[in-house]
Amino acid sequence: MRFLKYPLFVSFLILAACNNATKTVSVNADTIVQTDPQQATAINSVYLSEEPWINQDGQKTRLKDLTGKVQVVAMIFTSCGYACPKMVENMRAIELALPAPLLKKVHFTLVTFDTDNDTAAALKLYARQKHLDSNWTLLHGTEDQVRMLSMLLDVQYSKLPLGGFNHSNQMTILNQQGEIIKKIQGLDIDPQRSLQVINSILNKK
Amino acid sequence: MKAALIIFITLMGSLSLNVRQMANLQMLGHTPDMVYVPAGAYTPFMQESGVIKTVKIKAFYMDKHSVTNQEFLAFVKANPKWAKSNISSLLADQNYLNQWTGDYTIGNEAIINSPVTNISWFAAAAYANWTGKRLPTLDQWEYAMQSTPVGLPKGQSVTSYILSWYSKPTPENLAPVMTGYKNKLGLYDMVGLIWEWVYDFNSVVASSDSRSQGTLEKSLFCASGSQNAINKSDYASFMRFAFRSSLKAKYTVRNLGFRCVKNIE
Repeated sequence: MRFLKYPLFVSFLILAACNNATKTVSVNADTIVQTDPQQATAINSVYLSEEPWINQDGQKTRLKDLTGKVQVVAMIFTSCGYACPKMVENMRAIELALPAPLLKKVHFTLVTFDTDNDTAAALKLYARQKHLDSNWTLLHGTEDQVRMLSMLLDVQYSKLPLGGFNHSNQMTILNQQGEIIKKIQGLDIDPQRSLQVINSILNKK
Repeated sequence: MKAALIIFITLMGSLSLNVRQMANLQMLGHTPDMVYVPAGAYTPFMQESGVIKTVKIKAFYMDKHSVTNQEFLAFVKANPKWAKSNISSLLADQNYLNQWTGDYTIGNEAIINSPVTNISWFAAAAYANWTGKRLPTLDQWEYAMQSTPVGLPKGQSVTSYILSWYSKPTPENLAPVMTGYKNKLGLYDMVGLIWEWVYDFNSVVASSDSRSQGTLEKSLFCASGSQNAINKSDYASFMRFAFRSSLKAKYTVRNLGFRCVKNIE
């Protein structure tokens, strides 16, 4: 089923690329963007809902606010002992490996499963401990928001009766419109592969 | 929300409400086609560790029957972005509402009152939201399913009933709702007609999770050797849990539908 979707997706990319070409030569680019039927490209964006989340600074923010940069996204919880720190480490490795001009076009987002305990303050503390700067957004949402995002990203999780969460480990790379380009499963990953994916997205622009 | 609920009921057409019923409905906060599921304790089929835990379930209302094609059509008409040709491929795969002949046409008289199937989790959740309801949690659904069956042939257990259903291919036209299996709560077709989406179906972590991956996987797919299921002879439950873990939220399946619940605050 996944394979069937792939050509569709490629055709979207091609269309997106064509649009951009049109935009650059057009005098009145704004009009084209507004009336462009291919704006439906964003129909596959995971930034569907207008519902606000809370970031590590306690500000309301919508997923749509992540538009514009390539996003490296993972779902975690801050009291997680092993898997999540490793995941964040993997994402840090990607950040450190990105050359400065590319880094400006990439952003890192962590979304917590722990809607009870991971408040903005807890996320802020976590960001400080892990040296996550303004390239990073940490999001707290309602249970429904988190469940919906987990469905969109294909991340499995459940709350354990004694605290903590069972969850699949997945890093997702989204393009500037919030479309899923690559899901990377597991913790033992090579940052170079992610860099290739990011590069190929940025080269499409 | 109340307004949406009332619009929904009007659109359903099949329900003719008089004023008293309407007043009733507002008072109870649920529609007449829902049944009351009393609070109780439930032992989840899948257990994290050797110690068997029970989960307390609060009382809730549950749809008497799964959502029908006709009911779903009303939703699609009111929300065109969920029509077949408009839906994002992120939210449903290519077989979405495959049994309908058009975007706003079922086109087959025989299935109007049959459960709507070939719908993704996203579509089911959106429908539930539109009616002011929710999808049942896995625990709510399993708890409600455990209610004693009514009118099973003498000597037939629920498990054997379910297994004989599993062994039959899905018919071309699914039977109308409320014509088959019924349980003591007054819920129809919890088994024997279709599979049903639950809110947190993706809580069955089947791969690469952070902690108990090994044991969970074993308990899902290796029935006889498993330590983690409470009743190892309950193949019907194994199949249900294995099926859920094989799903993704955008998948559509020919015999997978849903019903809604309403929590009592």
